[in-house]
Amino acid sequence: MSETFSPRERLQKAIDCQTPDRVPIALRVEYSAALWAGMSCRDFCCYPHKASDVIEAAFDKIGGWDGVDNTWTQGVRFTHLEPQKPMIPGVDLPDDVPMEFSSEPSMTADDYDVAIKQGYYGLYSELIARRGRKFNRRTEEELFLGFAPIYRYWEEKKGVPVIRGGMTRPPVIAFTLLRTFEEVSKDYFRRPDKVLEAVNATYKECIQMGETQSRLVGCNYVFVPISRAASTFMSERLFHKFFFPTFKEIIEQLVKDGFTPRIHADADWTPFLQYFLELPKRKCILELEPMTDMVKAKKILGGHMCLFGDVPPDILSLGTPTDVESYVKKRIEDVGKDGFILANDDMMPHDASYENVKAIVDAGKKYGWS
Amino acid sequence: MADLNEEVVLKTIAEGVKNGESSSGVLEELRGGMEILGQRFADGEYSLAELMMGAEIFRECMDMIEPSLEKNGVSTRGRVVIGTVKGDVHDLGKNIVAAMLRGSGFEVHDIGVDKPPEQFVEKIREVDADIVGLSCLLTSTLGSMRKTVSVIRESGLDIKIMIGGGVFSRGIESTVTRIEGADGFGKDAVEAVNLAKEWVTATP
Repeated sequence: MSETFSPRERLQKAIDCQTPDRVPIALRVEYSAALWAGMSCRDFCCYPHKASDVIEAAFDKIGGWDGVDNTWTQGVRFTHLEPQKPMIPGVDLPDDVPMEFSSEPSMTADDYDVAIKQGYYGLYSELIARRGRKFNRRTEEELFLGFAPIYRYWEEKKGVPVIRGGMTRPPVIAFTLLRTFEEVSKDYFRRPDKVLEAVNATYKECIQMGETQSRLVGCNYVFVPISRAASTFMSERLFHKFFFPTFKEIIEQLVKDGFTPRIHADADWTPFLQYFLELPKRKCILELEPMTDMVKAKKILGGHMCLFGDVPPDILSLGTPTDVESYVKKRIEDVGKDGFILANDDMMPHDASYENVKAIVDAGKKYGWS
Repeated sequence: MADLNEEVVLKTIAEGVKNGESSSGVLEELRGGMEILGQRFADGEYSLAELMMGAEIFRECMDMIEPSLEKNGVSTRGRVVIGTVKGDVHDLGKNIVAAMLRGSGFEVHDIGVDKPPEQFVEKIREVDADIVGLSCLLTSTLGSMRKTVSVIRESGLDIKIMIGGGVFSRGIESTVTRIEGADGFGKDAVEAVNLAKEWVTATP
């Protein structure tokens, strides 16, 4: 089969819920690429250019795919933008494992008032300052402008779109990360009005954050992680009260402003799938993992929203290329070739084998032709 | 309790304690409330957020009635040591299971994250545990999980080993069977609690 679409056209066709020449493939390759190339996890974490180089080496050796993630920014981005204490490979952790965050909470119940009074940027500035670091719109701008040349390199020299610019994390999702899921779960019942007031006071700045970061690197994909609003973590009553109304506004605004939201939905979304019909048609990507019934998702959302997924991490670490090929073949048969982007589910484990990752691309190029 | 009305539950328990109500009777009622919570979770009406709140209310009630329970010799359902294995610092799943086990009447000793096998063995001996729960999220720490199970088994301790965590909840089903020597697997917090209850009930 010969390719008649460019990677960008192929991705766009899928987002439009139509059938491209073949199913587009998007991989989120991370620390495994460093280990394949003999690079330390510390270097991958701390040096975006070096990280991009090893991803490029893997990209070339595998034979290329249609959308790359900006994982080369991850270590620096997380260290500067997140209030949680980072644990750096080779410093706080062994040098052959990825960066992690300490699970120690950064946000107290009183900090809902900080969010209400000072907004999303104000809350993050305050929490990051408590760790002895500085964050404001200026530092954010400097950081993302520093990433921009790598984005341009991938787009212009490699001819492949980078499918993540900035990140818009809906407020309640941010609170569960900053304050822990356990504490926010209790807050839903003990101080519901305060949580809701903080959500309403911050969500518009969340939109600005994702849009600003994306503009700075010249990429129109905005990553919107929502896993902790899944049915696993929120009952429908809580979902309606604390999440969906503002989430819907966030997505509508991003689309209105010309961005493509990548709605990243780990955990089980099966009971909530119909809510995605309320979001703009053929404008978003919905990223699922195997806990959600992908076949049901296609049945409900086919023609409305592009699905993305979902080769699971344990197959990449523990399975064989044959396991990967079987999974991809079945997934494409089940979900079809319209409105679907083949991808690995969530973060690629650092012990994913090169052969298994290559098998995703090979299988996509074998079974994905229309 | 099952409706998660913290204020009402705490007030009722406080009055019961003041009026000299049987603490074991109160405990049974609280456990009944937790059973309903678990059922609502299984039915999809409740999520982990409701389970966490329920476990918190249970803990607060236990703080009030525990002195009386100890005086009357009412024991816990069983002792559980729980932790995340060496090489893995993730704790969300472990914390939820620990809270639910406490809320179901187990005495839980949470040793934290990134713990080597020897610390599990040490704690099991120290508290004379009936069950040990091992958690991991990352595929790369399955080897550590396997080693922990093996060290516990080689120590000769008479203990039930439960495994769980994100690594087992998706993808290839055979992942669970890669951990030889474990007695059971909890898909989620409610399954883990049910398994623990089965084990302590079955113990002669």
